[in-house]
Amino acid sequence: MTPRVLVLIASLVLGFCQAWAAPEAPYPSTYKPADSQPTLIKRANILTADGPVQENADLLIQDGKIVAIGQNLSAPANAIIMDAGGKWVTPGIIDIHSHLGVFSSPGVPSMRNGNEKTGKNTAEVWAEHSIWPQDPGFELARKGGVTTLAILPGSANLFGGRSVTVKNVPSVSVQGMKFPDAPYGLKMACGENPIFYASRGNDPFTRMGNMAGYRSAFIDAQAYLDKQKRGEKQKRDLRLETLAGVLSGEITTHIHCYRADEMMQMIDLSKEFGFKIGTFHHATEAYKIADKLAEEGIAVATWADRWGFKLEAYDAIPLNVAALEWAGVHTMLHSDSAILVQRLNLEAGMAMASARHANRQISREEAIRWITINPAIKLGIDDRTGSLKEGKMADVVLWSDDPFSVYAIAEKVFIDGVLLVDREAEESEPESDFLVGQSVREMAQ
Amino acid sequence: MNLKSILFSTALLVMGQVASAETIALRNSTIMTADTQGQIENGTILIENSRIVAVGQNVSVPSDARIVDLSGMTVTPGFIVTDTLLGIVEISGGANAAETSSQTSDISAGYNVQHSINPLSTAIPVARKGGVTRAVVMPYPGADGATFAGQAAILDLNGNLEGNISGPVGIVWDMRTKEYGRGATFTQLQADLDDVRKYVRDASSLQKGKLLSRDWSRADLDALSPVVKGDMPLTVRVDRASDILTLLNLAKAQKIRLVVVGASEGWLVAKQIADAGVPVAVDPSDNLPGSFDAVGAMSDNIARLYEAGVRLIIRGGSSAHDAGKLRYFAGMSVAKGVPSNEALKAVTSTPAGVWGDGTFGMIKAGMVADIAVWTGDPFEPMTDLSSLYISGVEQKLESRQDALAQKYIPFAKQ
Repeated sequence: MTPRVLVLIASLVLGFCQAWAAPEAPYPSTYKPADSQPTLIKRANILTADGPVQENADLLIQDGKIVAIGQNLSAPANAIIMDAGGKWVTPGIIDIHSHLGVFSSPGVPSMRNGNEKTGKNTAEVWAEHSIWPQDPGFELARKGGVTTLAILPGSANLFGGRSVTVKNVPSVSVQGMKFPDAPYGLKMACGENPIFYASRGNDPFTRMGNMAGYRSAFIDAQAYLDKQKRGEKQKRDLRLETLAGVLSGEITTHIHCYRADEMMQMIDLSKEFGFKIGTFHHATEAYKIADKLAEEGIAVATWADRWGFKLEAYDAIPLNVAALEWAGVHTMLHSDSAILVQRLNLEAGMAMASARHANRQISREEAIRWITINPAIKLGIDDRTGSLKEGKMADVVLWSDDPFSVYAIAEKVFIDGVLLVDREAEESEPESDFLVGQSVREMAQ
Repeated sequence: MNLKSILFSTALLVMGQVASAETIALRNSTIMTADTQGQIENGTILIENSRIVAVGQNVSVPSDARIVDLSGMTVTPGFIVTDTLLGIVEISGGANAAETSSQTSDISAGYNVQHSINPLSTAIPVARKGGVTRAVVMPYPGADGATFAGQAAILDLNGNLEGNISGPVGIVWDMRTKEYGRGATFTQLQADLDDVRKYVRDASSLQKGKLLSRDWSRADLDALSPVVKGDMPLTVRVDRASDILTLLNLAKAQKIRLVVVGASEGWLVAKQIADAGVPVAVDPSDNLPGSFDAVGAMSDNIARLYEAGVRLIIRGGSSAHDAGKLRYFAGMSVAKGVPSNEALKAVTSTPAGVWGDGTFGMIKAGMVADIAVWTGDPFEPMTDLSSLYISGVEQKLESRQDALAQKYIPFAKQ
């Protein structure tokens, strides 16, 4: 018996799944939350993203976890007590489509690290290897209540590379931000962007070329996976490894796709190769096929109301998000922007408000899910974050106002129980090393 | 919806209005005037022949007036979106449906944006749904590293095909440091303005070959003449604090009216801007150090500018499609510390004062009746625009987006 077979048997006996996508799980997370004092937030309106609003309720955080939610909770002796006085508390916001750290600020040519675009298929690249943890955008997002982000490669080519999920904490290394044991995703792109890339003399040149590109790639990935499953020796191939991970179901797909007809093509592609589409991103025409998306169990991450920036986004409408919710689609709001990520709560408010002219409404309980638990579910981290529930990570935001109001400011933001944003505290040095010690910033003091 | 009704509603959309001008009394609302009167509770606005003739709590209403009860509503002037591409961009990229700049180096300052505006753009009804009644449309610099972008115009959002564009209302100049270099661009601007001044004194100086700063076209010289005469503002897009100071000094020396757009680092020179009386158009969400010209970009830029006494204009990005979101940018400014009434002025009376002809931008007797009626706080997303008047005419509040929603979404209201 070869050692390889022994390992295989051992893992079967131990009940582990065979991992095809990342055999050695390299570049592991080193994130460990700092120690924090227990905190009791009293008299808050709590939107838990897991059931109805809890009015005038308390929330207890201890050892970085949510310990209890309810009326008149008592706190341990060493706890910090915060009287919310009727203000709102929500789970930390999760952005399922961010390019922070890969398209950083300042957006200088040497820092455009989000699109490998040296070919139509760059599934071999990993977004985490581009992330600059000093991007000042991370801190600004945190001040907007964002506690977890999926950092995706760009959409310049058919297969952009692997995404990574990070906790929005200050860190010198990306490993220190990586959400522990979070599954990977693959960024794919439909439509105009891969074609524009082709205008520089490469294929695909058309939408039919896009489809041929996906199909050829998955044919190769299928052969790679089959060989691996048969235990045949082959040279490790990073590109095929990621694509094989999609086929085996270990890696979810984040597919940038605007038009309804193109999403239908992608659904057929997934059936041809037997993989499950995770999330259509942007999906500004999703409302045209809402029932189909619900039936297929495919999620959508989109904006409240962005349109017209290209032809494939011309039919975007403000009622898209509400229509998907009503049809039973797993619906999310994303930012895709270092600016919008700072106000995803307002985006949710705008999408909720779009239903004013419809014959059906959107509740706050539905709207909060778009930016918290729903992205957590699609990122495979909902067992640990995304809602306020006993035992989950204490990723919590205390808002100055109704979180769906234009006036809402994230007054306090906790990540794993650590208070990382506190508007009452004195203005501190910026987190980003890029901004530390800049004369222009020091003049602000 | 059958074809006939689609055609009918499309015709309404094109006309953009549902009634002709008449005598109207808007009663019982909270009126945010954007004027020195401030806010009036339970007030009446009387409109006659497209103008506001009276505003207040005790307005006598003629017997033939149509009375509109607005109990519980809040009324503001129609919003004015500034530094926008509304009407000149149908689709931003990849569709050959945008014209934002001159494509010839022969025309730069003379580039007249009013010829580019399509009053039937689908983005216009969308902007109306955000309470926007007028837009200050501004071009971007075009061919061969031009710094003068061209002439701005004001678009009336009534959706008519004719007679709704006025201009030019100003000249736009961009800080293009990469293409030009600061040491060159300010020298060139100075020399250009000196030439224009010569031309204004003696138009024959062009033929006589006395204008040497560049190879001038008459169109560019004519366009710039009102700027050196002080009849028209020069709007500059600039972020870095030191550049703003350079431009303030240059404007003072040249005796021209300056308006600053962008001003990411404006807070650093807020006092100097305020002392110079220069209006500044700021996006309250502009807080990222996007380049080395904006390392000082800060979330409280707008609040600091306000505190220093700068004449504020609130802008919300230049995209044609987001023009109707201006009200949220006003709300974000309030969240950062600008008082609500000041934020309102920054999207109504102040831009009207800078670029307008003095006939719109406030709810005040004598002004054109550009009026937005809201179900509550105009800056909040949960508030609805209930009705919109431009020059006293109630506007249709339906867009192509609504038509698409009605076509596909069962719960969309028909």
